[in-house]
Amino acid sequence: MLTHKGQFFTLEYLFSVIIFLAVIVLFIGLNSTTSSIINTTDSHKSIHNSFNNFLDIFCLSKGFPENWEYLDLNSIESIGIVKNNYIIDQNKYLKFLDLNSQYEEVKEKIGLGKYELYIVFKDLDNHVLGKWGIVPDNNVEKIKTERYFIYDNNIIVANIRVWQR
Amino acid sequence: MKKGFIVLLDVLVALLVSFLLFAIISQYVFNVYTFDNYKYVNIIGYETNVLTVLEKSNLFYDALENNTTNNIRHFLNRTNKNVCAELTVYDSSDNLLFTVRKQNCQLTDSYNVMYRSFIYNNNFYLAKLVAWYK
Repeated sequence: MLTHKGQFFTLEYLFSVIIFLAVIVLFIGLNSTTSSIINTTDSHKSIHNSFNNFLDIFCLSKGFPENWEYLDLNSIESIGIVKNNYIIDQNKYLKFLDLNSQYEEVKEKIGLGKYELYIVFKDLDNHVLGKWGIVPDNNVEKIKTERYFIYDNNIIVANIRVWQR
Repeated sequence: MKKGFIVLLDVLVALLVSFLLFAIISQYVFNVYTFDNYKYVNIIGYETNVLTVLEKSNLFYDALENNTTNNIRHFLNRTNKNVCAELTVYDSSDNLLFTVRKQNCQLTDSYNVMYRSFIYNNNFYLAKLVAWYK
């Protein structure tokens, strides 16, 4: 008959096993949470960076070449719809709306190849002047912003939506 | 029989404490990179855009010429619903000429200010736009 308990049954050992398991569980949980945060942060950073680059080029530049509106899509490097900061060039604007039929190709030209895009141009009384892109589902997480332009001496609003495919 | 290194209680406690510290520190580090940075960029973009459009659409001149801020107010009220804004215009002697605030907006502690100068009738004016999130 044993007079002393073995090491396996000592309270101290059981306590240490519990702590060890707690550490393992904490490690796994933390690792999973951290990975998830890193992935989400990277994904958000990536879409925000693309979105901001797109806004800069689209809203503040004439595009490249500057006469892109008269060229074939294959010859266009980037698309901007203004002739000066936020003052819309009518020919560029109309050509851009016209290019909706080549949605995928245009997205590549404006640096949003991985994402989807939907733009609605409205006047200040909310009358729709033009639409571009595909309509997003309601349940999709989107980045939304508005930009204001001058078009034909009037202020117009562009509602811009970008989301992950 | 002596216990092995791996089952030493103080080592396990030390490990637990280390992980807890790591968890607390990592939470702090990750919280630094919130999307407030993007919000800040967005509010600057909003202000730049609004001030540029107000100037280039001649709404500043319209307000000074006709002594009315109705068109500016109409435009500001139409801008992004999530953003509040207050526009103030001063003359070259720093006299306040007019102030327009978006409707249903109360100033908070966290806001960004942007200035834009413009010339009208050979006089210098300064527009100050304060913007913040609702």
